[in-house]
Amino acid sequence: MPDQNPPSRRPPVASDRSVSRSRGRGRGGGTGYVELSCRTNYSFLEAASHPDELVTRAVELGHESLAITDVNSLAGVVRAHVAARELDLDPPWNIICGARLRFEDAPPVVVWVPDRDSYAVLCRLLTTGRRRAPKGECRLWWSDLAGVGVEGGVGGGGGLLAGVLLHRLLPRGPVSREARDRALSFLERFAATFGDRGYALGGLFRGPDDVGSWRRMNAWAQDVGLPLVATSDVLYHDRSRQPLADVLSAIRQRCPVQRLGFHRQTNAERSLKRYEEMVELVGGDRQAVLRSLEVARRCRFSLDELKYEYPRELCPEGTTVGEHLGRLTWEGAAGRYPAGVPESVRRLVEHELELIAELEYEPYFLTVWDLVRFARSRGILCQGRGSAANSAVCYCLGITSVDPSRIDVLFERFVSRERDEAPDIDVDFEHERREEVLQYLYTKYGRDRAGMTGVVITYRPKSALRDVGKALGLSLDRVDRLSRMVDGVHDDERFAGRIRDAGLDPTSQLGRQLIGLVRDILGFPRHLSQHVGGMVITRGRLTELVPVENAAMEGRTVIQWDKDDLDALGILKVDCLSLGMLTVIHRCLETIGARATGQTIDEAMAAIPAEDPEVYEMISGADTVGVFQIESRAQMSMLPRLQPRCFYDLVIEVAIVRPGPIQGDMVHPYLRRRAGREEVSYPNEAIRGVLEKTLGVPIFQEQAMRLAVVAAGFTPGQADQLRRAMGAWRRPGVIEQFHGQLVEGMRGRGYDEEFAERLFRQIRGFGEYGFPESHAASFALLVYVSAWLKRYHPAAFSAALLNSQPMGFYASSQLVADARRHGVSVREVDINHSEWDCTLEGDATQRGGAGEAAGGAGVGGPELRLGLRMVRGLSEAVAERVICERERGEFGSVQEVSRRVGLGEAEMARLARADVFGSLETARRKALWDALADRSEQPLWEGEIGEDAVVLPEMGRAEEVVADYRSQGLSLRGHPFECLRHRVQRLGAVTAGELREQRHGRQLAVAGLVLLRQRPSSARGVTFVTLEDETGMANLIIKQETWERYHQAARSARALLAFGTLQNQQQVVHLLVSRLVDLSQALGQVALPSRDFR
Amino acid sequence: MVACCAGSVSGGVRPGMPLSEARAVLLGPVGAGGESVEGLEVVEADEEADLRCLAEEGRRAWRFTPLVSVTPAARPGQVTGQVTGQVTGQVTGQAAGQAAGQDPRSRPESLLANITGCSHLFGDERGLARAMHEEWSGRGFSVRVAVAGSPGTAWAIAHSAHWTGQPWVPLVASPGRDELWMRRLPIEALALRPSVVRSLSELDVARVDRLLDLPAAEIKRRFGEETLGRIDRALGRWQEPLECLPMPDPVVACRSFDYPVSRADWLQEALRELVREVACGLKRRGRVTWRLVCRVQSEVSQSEPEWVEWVTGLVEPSQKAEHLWELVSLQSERRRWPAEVVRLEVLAQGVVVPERPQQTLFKTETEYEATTNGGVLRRGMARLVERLSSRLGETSVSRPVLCEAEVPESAVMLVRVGRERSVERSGERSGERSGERSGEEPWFGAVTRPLRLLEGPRPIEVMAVVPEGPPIRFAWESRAQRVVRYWGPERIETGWWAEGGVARDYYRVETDAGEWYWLFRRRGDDRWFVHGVFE
Repeated sequence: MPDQNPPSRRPPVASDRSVSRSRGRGRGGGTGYVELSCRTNYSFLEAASHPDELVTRAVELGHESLAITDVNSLAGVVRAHVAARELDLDPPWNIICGARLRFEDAPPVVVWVPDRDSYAVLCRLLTTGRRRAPKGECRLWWSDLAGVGVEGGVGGGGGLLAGVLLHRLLPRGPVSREARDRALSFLERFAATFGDRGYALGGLFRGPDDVGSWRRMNAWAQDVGLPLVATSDVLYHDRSRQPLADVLSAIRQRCPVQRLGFHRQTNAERSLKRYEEMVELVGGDRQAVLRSLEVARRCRFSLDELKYEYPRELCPEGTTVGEHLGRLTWEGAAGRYPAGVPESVRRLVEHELELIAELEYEPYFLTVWDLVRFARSRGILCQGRGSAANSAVCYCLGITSVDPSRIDVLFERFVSRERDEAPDIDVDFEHERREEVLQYLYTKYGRDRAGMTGVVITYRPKSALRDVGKALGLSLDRVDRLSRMVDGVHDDERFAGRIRDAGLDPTSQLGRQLIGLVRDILGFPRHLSQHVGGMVITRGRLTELVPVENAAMEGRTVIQWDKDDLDALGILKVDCLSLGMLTVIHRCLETIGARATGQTIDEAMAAIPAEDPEVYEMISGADTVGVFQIESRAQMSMLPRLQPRCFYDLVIEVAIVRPGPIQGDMVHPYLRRRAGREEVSYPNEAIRGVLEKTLGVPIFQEQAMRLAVVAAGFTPGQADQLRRAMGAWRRPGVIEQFHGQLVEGMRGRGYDEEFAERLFRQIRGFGEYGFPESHAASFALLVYVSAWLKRYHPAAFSAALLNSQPMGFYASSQLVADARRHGVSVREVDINHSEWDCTLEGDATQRGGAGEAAGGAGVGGPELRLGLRMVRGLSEAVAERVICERERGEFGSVQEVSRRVGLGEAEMARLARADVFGSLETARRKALWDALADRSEQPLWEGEIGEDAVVLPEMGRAEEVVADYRSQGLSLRGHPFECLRHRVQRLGAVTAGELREQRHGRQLAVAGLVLLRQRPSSARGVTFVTLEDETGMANLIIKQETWERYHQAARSARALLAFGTLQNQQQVVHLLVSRLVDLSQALGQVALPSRDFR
Repeated sequence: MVACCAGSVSGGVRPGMPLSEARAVLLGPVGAGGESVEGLEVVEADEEADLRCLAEEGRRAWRFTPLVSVTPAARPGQVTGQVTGQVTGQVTGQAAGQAAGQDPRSRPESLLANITGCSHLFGDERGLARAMHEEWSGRGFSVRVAVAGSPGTAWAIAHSAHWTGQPWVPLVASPGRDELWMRRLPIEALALRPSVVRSLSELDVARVDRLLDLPAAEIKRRFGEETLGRIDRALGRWQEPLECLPMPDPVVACRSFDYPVSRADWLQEALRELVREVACGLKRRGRVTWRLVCRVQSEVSQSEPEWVEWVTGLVEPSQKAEHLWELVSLQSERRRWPAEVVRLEVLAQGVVVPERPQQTLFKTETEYEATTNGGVLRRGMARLVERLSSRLGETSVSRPVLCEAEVPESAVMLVRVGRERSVERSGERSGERSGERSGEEPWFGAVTRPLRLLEGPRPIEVMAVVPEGPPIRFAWESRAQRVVRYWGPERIETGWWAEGGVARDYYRVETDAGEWYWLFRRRGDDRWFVHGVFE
């Protein structure tokens, strides 16, 4: 939206832009005040109000504008700008864009932006300072500001208006001559640099001698000929925020507030003030107050003037972006549908292209297309998702692989005429190769035109409590306990309850202050971080659009705005994300010989037969270890109930185990309806349209949103606001208002209140983690592909997973165990046979046992050889040296390995411990004994000490297993519990395998290694623990009381024996635990049977 | 976590655990009743303090033998006596320092004592060991005592022989049976490098006998010379010298009377002699002292002599007899001599090498003052303070120090003279992280704060024209005062985190009588107070 704010729409005063100073001073009649120095909480840990709070307050106080001057930053300006826009004031309100510049060699100075050119200057200046300093810091020298003009071709100070903060500059009371001279000479330099663009800002804060101070400031300003302007040097919008400001200072100084001393303000006078108050404060000096208007009116720049321009190089010379996109799309369509584009698709594409042209989004689609094209050309797997991604155009362009004829696509749902909102396409790349794509962008557009989007890290309950607690002087212990208790707790009442549980009375003064301050600080930005993959690309210099600063990673830069800021200003970004599963699929397809047949990786993936019933059979049986998305425990327990039979079922499966549907309690109704135990009905046709494909139950984010529109009478814009408000849960007022509207609206349209409440909760769940259908569809595709690979190429799939560790839910040992359960024979790591990666031996393209029972899919197929990467602590470089040397001939003995490869004692010991010398027939202990020997001191003649003089105790099987676990994280010899079996059997335990056969409701016990402990925030204190024994995995549910009773075992045991009640329904098996026994000791004894003194 | 008490060990805590885990193990998951939060005491590990404590305990061990060591450093040729028995006690009551380096023996937790020729005083070695055990367990330490033929073996037994199940029983290896004991111990007893212990246990060489059965050359090839050395040390195969705590060289003078003396003048004279003797002793050694202790033993009843102790502290260490005597006598004048004195002792504590002030060619007293102004106390001042402290007691001589507090009544603190620096230090925090200080450095000129504050603010009746406005008239000391001029308000709002938070608007006012007062209005209830009078 270019120039929405033409000068004519400003208040008439604005026309006297060139008001001379004398005239400005002469204006005695009016009243009015504009705060010119105001920090927001984007000056991290300094100021104590959100930008919107400041704006709202300034409007209330009758200010006609407000300058946002964050410390070396423009991060808070956008939020203030948006807040002012949302208030929709008449006459429109303009935020004065500015910054408080802090120098290494000079006192701080506030600058304001009068026009677009000086805005660019300020951005460049801040970028310069930020790029010099480590992440989060800024190093500026006075010469940077005084000299920016030189580079930009403008006068000193680069056309910026500036104010020197006299109350900071002039020390009160008697000062040394030297200090005084220094201050004066700086004032003179300042005045000389800025000329008539310079002002002196004077702040009074009810100090010991305000009258004297003001007199002195006046005198000093007059000495150098700067007009004196009154300011409150604002740190918060309202004086009630003083405690929070103190807490922030304490956090910054890392000491409790009690010990802040002179680091805190004496009083609460740093708030926004009324004109009358200001006049009174400065002892009736109206001119100094009114002069703020003069400065404000000189600043006509509005952030709306920033117009985003797409890069030029998106289409060849001589064509328009529209033509180019059209051509590419139809070419792509022809490729996708070799038999001719179906009529429905043709119509869809035409329609979408029309809409894209209307909204001028062609460059965006071209940018994404270019990325995808580049990735394809390098053989990098990628896939688009996101609101605009699941369109026919994207399918034709190859951005996504979800055939629009396979799921129903309604483009307008994502890109609409009413909501002028940027389309959103996220592109996932293989996680190990995303960097190539980013580098491509940097090379193509240059570092000054491409940058990563920032992410503002804000206070969440846990971090808020930690910091506030420390600032209030609670002991570290206590803070620790408290902050762990409140993790993820957002509403006040539960918060207070948790505080009480942790032993702090929430009604005591400390408790009240703690709760109040934590509530205030929630949502406060704490620092800027790097977005996972959002890139902004511009036509001109990025650094003239927004300041750029260093990220934590070497050589990475990040812009000061996050995605919401970019959205608000209409600046587009593309998201380049990384996805481990794509790497796995790539590796797997490569192994099974996709390359050999001349297919590209993409083609190979596309060639995977769709809708294979065997694959769905496997999925329905929850046999999904390693499969994308549906391998988690929650997903696994859903699969047998949902029984997916087609692609769309997978889409639902992916979307249903999410905070939204769970918090909205939509999962069970859906399951009941799917099982036919509940009637599917719709109150009216409009709602049928929204919910038909999910049996009348809202599952996806957009369904919930549409329901708000269709069933509660929201406008689409309101619905979207509702979702955003949910995300930013720090504004309870807004949420309450929407809540009322939603419930009322639905009740009026014949819904019961309970359903409306559930829908509200669901929308809140989406606020935390939105999951639209388009995402689910793209993910479901990967689910299907990975499941297919697991079903037909279990060996290759396992190898690819093992080589991509760490990723997913399972550790190597479970992946290997799962592969073996599927009939894949796995061979141990061996110095003479293993590569770095896990590899296949035999014909890798063989499926092996296809068509047999699911349990034996891998039988007869290739064998999986574990790679040297499994050896803990072994570096890839060492492994490479071993493999390189081996190519000249296999090793004959342990000594030979060490001699030929030249490995030191530590590396040899590492290899020996991992027992990789099997092919040399050297057992672990012997190998270790040999490996430890110092080779530099070879005995002069070999016979001197007979090696057989040393007799080492043989290792038992159990010991070997434990040693395997220790050195590789898994064992092919067996499971530690095999050796413990007779013991735990005596204690009453059945195996995990037997558990499945038992009747629901029986009292049973099971024992195993603890694989994982999980306590999802939605589970009300219930902990899920997974045990593994030699027959498989067993799932435990531990309620809070039980957990607490056996906390010692529950928390830290490596192995557990659990007693409880079996829950076995619809193939979902859990043990509801009533008693726990720690078996870690027993495991230790297996490990080291002779160390009985332990 | 470095160390923990027996109670926490039985609760499942092991040294080496992260503190948070230990806490979770002991106190249960969060939510299991808040009251137990206070049940766990966590003390920061401080190896220095441990060492100091150990040295202190070592000096106590002089009761049993003069040869006590806290540092097992092996510098050969230092100890010449024949070693026939060693005692080691392990102290774990304190947080034993971080696992020091690679030699477990260097952890500050053990006392090694050479008890050669001392055991007969306690019956036999067992008796001595038992006495030692009583000494430290009685003082709250959990202690393990072992007696063996060499320090290494004694250390090993004390550390590893818990299989007896009775750690409180002192273990005594009878002569010649050291190696038999050792062979049954786990290899950890040898105080090998942790990495070596790990490797050996992987090879299932878990007990000392297994290790001893391996050929020494092979051990050396794999685990180095050092390992062999440590094995030998533990087995007492070479004479490990003990670096013993040096016995102090006390600067003491004492006098016993043949019959009880009660006359103050006699005693005074005797005391003076003793102080002079001590001063001579100090001079001879080239030392100065920080503190003189006078101990007076009186015989109130025949059976129980009673000791009285006077301590005289100095601001600047000294060795001058007149100076020291002056301070002591000032103090003795303040005290009452006990009756029936049988013995006098004067003891110099805190004996240090004097720090010589830099010599300048033409040093004058004024120059000295100028250069050290604010740093060291001026010499004359030091004398004065010492005299006053001796006379009035140390706590009585103090000076005001400005502290970082906005509430006027707590902005000043009285600090013992000579300690101001430490107070100011603790107020300062190292380095500011952000460029600007958020608060203003306050400056209180002579006119902004009264020289004297009242004991506390006193409520007064004030008339103000406007509710938020300045005072016009007020009553003070039952006199009506009319305000002719005022300055303010200066607003002080602070202490919201504590019970005594304040929110006040201060005014400086001049009355028609020409007097200046410091008043404030309490924000909230608008009551007025006088807080100070300008003089």
